[in-house]
Amino acid sequence: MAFSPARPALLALAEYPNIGDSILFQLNGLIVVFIALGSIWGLLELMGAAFRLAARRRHASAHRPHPAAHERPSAPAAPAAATDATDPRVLAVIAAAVHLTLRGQPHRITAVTPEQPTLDWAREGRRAIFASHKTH
Amino acid sequence: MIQGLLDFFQTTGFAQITWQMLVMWAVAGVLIYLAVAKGFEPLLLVPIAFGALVANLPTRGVITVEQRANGVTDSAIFRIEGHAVPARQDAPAAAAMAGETPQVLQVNRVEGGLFDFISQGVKLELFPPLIFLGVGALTDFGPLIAMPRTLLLGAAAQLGLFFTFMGANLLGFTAKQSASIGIIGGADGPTAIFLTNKLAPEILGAVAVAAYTYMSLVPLIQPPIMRALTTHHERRIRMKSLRKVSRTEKLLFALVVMIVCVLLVPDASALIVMLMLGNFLRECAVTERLVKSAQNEIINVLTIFLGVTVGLTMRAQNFLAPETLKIILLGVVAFGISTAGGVIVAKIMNLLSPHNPVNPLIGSAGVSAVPMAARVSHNEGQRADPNNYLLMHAMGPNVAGVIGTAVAAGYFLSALGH
Repeated sequence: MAFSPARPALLALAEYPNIGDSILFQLNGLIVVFIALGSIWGLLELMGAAFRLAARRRHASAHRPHPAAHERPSAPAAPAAATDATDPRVLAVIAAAVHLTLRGQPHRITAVTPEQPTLDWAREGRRAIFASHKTH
Repeated sequence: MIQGLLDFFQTTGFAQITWQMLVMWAVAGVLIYLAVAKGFEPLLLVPIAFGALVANLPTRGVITVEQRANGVTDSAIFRIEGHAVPARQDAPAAAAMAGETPQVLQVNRVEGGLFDFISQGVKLELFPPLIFLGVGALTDFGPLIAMPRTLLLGAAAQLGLFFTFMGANLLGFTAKQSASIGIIGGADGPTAIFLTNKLAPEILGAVAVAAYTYMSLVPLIQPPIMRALTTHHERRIRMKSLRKVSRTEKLLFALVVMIVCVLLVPDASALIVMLMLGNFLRECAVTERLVKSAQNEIINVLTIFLGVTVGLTMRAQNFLAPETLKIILLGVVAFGISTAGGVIVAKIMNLLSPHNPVNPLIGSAGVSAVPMAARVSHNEGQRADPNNYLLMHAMGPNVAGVIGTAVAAGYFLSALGH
């Protein structure tokens, strides 16, 4: 829906404003930006608190002992699926490749996750955009 | 025979070369050198430089340029030939009753060069919002959602925009031109083009070139300011790990930001809506094909068109003027003050919240050159402490800066664009 508000007098700035008007205009602009981003901050804090609370509740209920659990015979634990990513030899190769790519720069590998082939093209776009900026 | 050859020579492009064109060839050469040899923003500077070169060649069938009576050069004009016909079969009777004849234009022929049509993407404000669709699809707002107080750094980094507005005014630019120059400080090319095209299209070329050149020079401009405003101890501050953000939170974030920003600054709707649409497509995980297109094909095609279109505005008659030099100088001032604004507000935040400090280096990432400004913060942090990883922390203010610049542009448009 198109919205065409009446133009308030405060915003009616001259083509060549004087210093006072110019400063007032700048302050108003900064206040608008801070209000916009400050409001989003407040809403995100509320949203984050709600999500953290929900996560805590889920965690608590998941760790509550189930009354019937003791009566049931425990099933034998399934052996962990040995994926390529958890193979220590593969991890060593990845670590060596990272070390070579970064030319010995300090680094820390925090996670190794299996590649999702369906996202390759999207990831390539992202990689290309990021790689196109030179920072040093 | 010689006369015939001389006559032919007059019809070639050689006869139309001026010294101003040669200067612009050199300018285009510098931009190409920066992009190709130095690797500064090649995706943008190469099309811009190429467009600038083409704009200063006596081309035919590429773009139409006309000189208006007031001396202003207008480009990207195409002609539509047609004739008026009655809107409906019964129009004469209806016209008699209403006292006027409703008519429609029947188009017989449309005439223009390739870029007369492609440039309409800038003139009609289509390219910047569509590029924002791709930016949204490429951006992970997770670090910002995990640490929302960094939104303040994105807001603080808009300081340069407003400060430069006054500076430009004092140098003789109109209020609309000053706003367009100030937005360079946001380091957001599409937003700068969007705003300038609406407020001061006559300086679009200079503003766009300054914006993209400074964006490419972020690694050179920002570090000295960051080091001057921080102590070694501050640069070594390690920040707490970011919490994991759920997909639902990211989806809600896109909707919340869009609603808040559109309600507050409706003039920035086109940018904000497309940014958040792109991000929603990315996070909802059920529109994979659309995300792929937005992240690759759409943004790549538009980057070529936008870059060349901007370059084509750099005609010698417009560009080789004292105003261009002033715009380029004011641009770097805007950029520097925005960088300083982010760092200083980060330090103020540490004074107010000493138990959970932020590394002030991430404040400079509040300018919205994504992800380069964040990477510069990270690199500077690693200079002081090689084991300090600031990249994800800096992405928070970095993406907040994109929103902040769009809001600032919305404010300028609300105030000056009507």
